[in-house]
Amino acid sequence: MKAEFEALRERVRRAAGSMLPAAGRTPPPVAEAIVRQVPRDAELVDLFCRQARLAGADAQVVPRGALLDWLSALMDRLEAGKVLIDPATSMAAELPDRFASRTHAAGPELDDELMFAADLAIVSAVAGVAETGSIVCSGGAGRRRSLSLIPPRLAAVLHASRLVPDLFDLFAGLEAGERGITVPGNINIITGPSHTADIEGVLVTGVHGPGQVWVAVVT
Amino acid sequence: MSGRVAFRVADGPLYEAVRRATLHKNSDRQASFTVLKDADALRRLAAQIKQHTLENLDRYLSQFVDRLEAAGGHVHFADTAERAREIVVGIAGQNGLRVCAKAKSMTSEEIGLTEALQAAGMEVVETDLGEFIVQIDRDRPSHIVTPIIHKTRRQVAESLCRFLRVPHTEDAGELTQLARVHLRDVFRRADLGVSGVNFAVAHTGTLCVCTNEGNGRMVVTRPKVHVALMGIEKLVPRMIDLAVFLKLLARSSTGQPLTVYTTLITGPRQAGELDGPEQLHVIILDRGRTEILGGDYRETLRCIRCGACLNACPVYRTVGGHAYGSVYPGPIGQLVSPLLGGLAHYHELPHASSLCGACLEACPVQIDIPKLLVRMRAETVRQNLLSRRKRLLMRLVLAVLARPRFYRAAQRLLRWLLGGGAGWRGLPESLVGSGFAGRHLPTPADRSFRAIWREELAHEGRV
Repeated sequence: MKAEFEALRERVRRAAGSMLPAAGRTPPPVAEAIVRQVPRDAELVDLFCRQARLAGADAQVVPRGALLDWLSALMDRLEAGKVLIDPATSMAAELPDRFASRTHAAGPELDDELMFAADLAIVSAVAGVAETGSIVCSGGAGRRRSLSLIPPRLAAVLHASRLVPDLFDLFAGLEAGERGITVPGNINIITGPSHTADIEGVLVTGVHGPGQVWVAVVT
Repeated sequence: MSGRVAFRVADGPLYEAVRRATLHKNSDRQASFTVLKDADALRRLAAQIKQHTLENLDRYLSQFVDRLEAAGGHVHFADTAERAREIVVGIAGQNGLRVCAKAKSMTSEEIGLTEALQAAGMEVVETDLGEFIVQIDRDRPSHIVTPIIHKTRRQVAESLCRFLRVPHTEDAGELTQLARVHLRDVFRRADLGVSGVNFAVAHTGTLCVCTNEGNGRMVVTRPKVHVALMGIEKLVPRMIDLAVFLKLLARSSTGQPLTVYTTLITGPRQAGELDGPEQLHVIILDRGRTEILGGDYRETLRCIRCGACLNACPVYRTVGGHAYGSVYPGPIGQLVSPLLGGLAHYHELPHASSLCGACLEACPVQIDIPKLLVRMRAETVRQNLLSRRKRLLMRLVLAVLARPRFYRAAQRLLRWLLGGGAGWRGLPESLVGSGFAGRHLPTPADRSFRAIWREELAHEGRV
């Protein structure tokens, strides 16, 4: 395999003619003035909610103290019988007792049957992007990559302080992180419900991922 | 790659389906670009970053391989389609894998991976809705983003309902639900996930996979082994480059600001993580790409496979994707197919363009497709690939165009032949070939441009 790579690299080196002067060896700067669409000082919460709704998600501002009520109301409204909760949060323990039999922490013990039978997943987002109305979910120890994917409905809790204006900020953060901290093994930037327009261009939501997405922007 | 280039004006329903869908996607794309502050500057920057990456590709490949291995991934290199198939079949064999869930990947189409895995005894299921329909229909995709753009809802309904043995329905939502339920079972059983890659970040060893349906996420998350296929040209240097390309990719493809799922993968399941593949294998494919890199068509490797040039192209819109006889249809396919599959086999492709420039205008990485098509046409002449009839015809045209007297005479002759009636309706194939058969020559204008021009000059007293 090493030899195969060396051969390929040598071929590529010759083809690319990369005996370039030093100036040609640094990538072109990613000029913020060109890439950034949302200014640093923009009003992020409103913009995020607007963009998330455009993408088909139901985003609402929820004061910190009202979050558990908001989640309870959502579960009641959906008549959700099997709710999976992000093991990275303490939400499962904080919900009112009447939900105890319906909610399950999606920890190591969660089995596949329950995963595929669940009505709703509640996850905490590590970041949000106002420009596109996207939430960002991260993998890592104690987390489950597929929690925001398999159940047919998704509710995400996003703290307003985790909002960034622009994709530029999100990737600049990952870029800066890559020197000190390693980039997480898995990051999902989620923008609205799963959809397709493969059949005659008709928009259908809920193909393989959740067909309905709620975001509570906690202030 | 097989099939035959067959440029014919598509039949009724196909023509309508493709025309409507491409026009729709084209106007969505244009609308989505208007919200960008300076779309042209962004496209220029994207082109520069890709061009720079290609010019330093050996370095970025080394860096990518180092970082990916450090993150726990395995890297493989394949010169040829055959070698790539062999590697994937080998991985499946070593791990005793039985069921493969595939996400949409043009590279896997290019190397014919599905057939190879099936020949090795695996069950292989395409999980993108469009690709799934293609698979159960034993059809071929006709668009690089929307594989069943050539099918009507009725055709999809008939295939899907017959395959799943359920009562007929033509409701797009119901059809999607039926496919969802069927494919969920596949995701639960699959032990091998095969995906493509939209971008690969050299600096971190990260793969970026963009999907709307979520099947891509299933494929890279559920099975215990994930195999990602990428051409050498998928690299970008830094994370921050993704901010540039992601703003362009979905807009160019479907007019969305961003795909529903943008997944960044840096290595397999981490310690303590509750799911994700145990093994991550990345197969880096050359298959003629280094030759393109070293030749006159390097900039075609900037392509991010967004499909914008297909949607913008009046020829694609008229003939549909299958006419190109290749995995890569449309304007970019007219370049890439001959480059990857041989000009001798695809020599008609560079000629099947009106060179109107819509593809260049649509391209998010500013590939000058018209210029390269002209260059490739010259190549077909140099390599003597034109038919005898076309060579004769071209020689005649050259003789006429180069001599004003002949030109005037030819013009008079044509005016005499076509004048008075409704032009020439329905040109015969024997004269003009399949590409133009059935088309019409219009009635000439009352006065020729030359006549008007002469009068104008006389008016100004210059003759």
